[in-house]
Amino acid sequence: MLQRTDLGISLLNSLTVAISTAVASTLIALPAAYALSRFRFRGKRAASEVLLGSQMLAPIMLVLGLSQMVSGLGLTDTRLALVLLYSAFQVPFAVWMLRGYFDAIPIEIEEAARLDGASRLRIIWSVALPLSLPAVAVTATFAFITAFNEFVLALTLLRSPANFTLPLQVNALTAGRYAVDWPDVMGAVLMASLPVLFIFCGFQRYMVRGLRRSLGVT
Amino acid sequence: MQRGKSTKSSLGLDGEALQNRHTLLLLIAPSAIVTAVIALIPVLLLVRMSVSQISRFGKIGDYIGLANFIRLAEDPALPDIALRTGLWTVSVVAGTILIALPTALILNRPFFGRGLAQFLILAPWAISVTSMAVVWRRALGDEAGLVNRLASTIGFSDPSITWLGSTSLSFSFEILIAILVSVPFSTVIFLAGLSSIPTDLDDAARLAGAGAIGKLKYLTLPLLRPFIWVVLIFNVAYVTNSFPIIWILTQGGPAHRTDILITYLYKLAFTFGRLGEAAALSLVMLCGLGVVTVLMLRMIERSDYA
Repeated sequence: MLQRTDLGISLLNSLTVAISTAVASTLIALPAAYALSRFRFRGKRAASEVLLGSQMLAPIMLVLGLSQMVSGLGLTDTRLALVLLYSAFQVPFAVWMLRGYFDAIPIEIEEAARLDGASRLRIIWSVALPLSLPAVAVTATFAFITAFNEFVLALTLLRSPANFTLPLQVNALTAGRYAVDWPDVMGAVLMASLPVLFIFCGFQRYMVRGLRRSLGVT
Repeated sequence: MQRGKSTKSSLGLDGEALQNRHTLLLLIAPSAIVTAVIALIPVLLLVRMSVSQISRFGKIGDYIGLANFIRLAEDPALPDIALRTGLWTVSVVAGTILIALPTALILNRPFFGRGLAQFLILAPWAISVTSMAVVWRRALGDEAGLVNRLASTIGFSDPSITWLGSTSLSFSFEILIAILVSVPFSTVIFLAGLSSIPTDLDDAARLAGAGAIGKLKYLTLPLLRPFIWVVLIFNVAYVTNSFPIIWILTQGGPAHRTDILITYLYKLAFTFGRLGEAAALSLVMLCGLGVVTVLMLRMIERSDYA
């Protein structure tokens, strides 16, 4: 069945795209989250509202502009395009999530390091970052699952079956076919669901706790 | 809402204010640039497309002013679809809250098997909506569909109902599925809200003689209000733009009667090749969602969150 339905390739594509997205979006978001949590500046409140508001910006509304942008860059039908778009759209959520975590880490630890003469970059690198590793893991997991499951952008940007991600493959096995081979489809659904379910099993408690932090509850 | 007091103190000393400012900008720059690029460039491209003559294949031609918007406004299918989008959003969001809130209230108190229950309720969040929709399409399909087979096993004589054949029935099913899909995430947010209510407040209310309903009405719900707004923020956009369920179950058909704006937008752009009108519709929807977002943020501010 694996060969008949190209599921192996799709699984590989999905994993590649999702892992790259998780790494990229978290790395981009990390400094901003730290800054929003630790610095005092004018417009901080506005910044956190923009952050919450930008959760409403859905990629599908921009899908036409995005596909033009991607074709302008010559990236149509590439997995790289998906990684770039997914990462960018994941950044606001990642910043929001990570900031909640940083807020929960007592600043006194950093102040102690500062009194010992550590520079700010040094503090970020060897004090704040290690303490926030669990947060980084949770945020990356969120990004992974979102990217692993995304449908619309993949449907729009990918053409060749060799690049299909799992949701696209699942759809391709059913859409517009007169006779659908349901056992194959269910196999594909299972394969698209099991990896994320396993991850969710392992991370459930941390993800729920992470959301609580980001909502301002410790 | 509880906040760590740590956020109020600052590392910065006065003499270093300037250096601090540079560090701040440096730290925020990557996220700000990425977000700006991903939001602004597509919007600018959409603006250009919406005021241009444009071929099926995306070749941009002459400037034609607002012709695309006018053509869009004259589209006979659009009023129905806009109304249906409103119905869709309101039903799905209301249904989600009506299920997620009691679920969270139940999960918030200890009982045997709570861990398992919580897992079963939250786990579907991790599964892709696409997969869910495909499974539902299988379950609701005619003769060989699971629901019909189940009905015949129980003993109904003629179970070959085509669940997705009638438009109103299939749209109702799509709403139900959309609710099921959004419940887990909303439940988590409500659970977070409930855990922010100090237990001594709860105890005090009980000692003062408040019944379960009184406690819910005067203590729990008011304290949960900011979280209800957060659930709304996350859900309204998500639901308005929820695409895979409708796309996979009915593709908006027959004759646009299960279309919502976002599926229609997709068809305009990628099936009918009416790219100019699609760009115009995108912009109109963006403006609409922007207004809603600002209004909701105002409300949140009033209920003291952020």
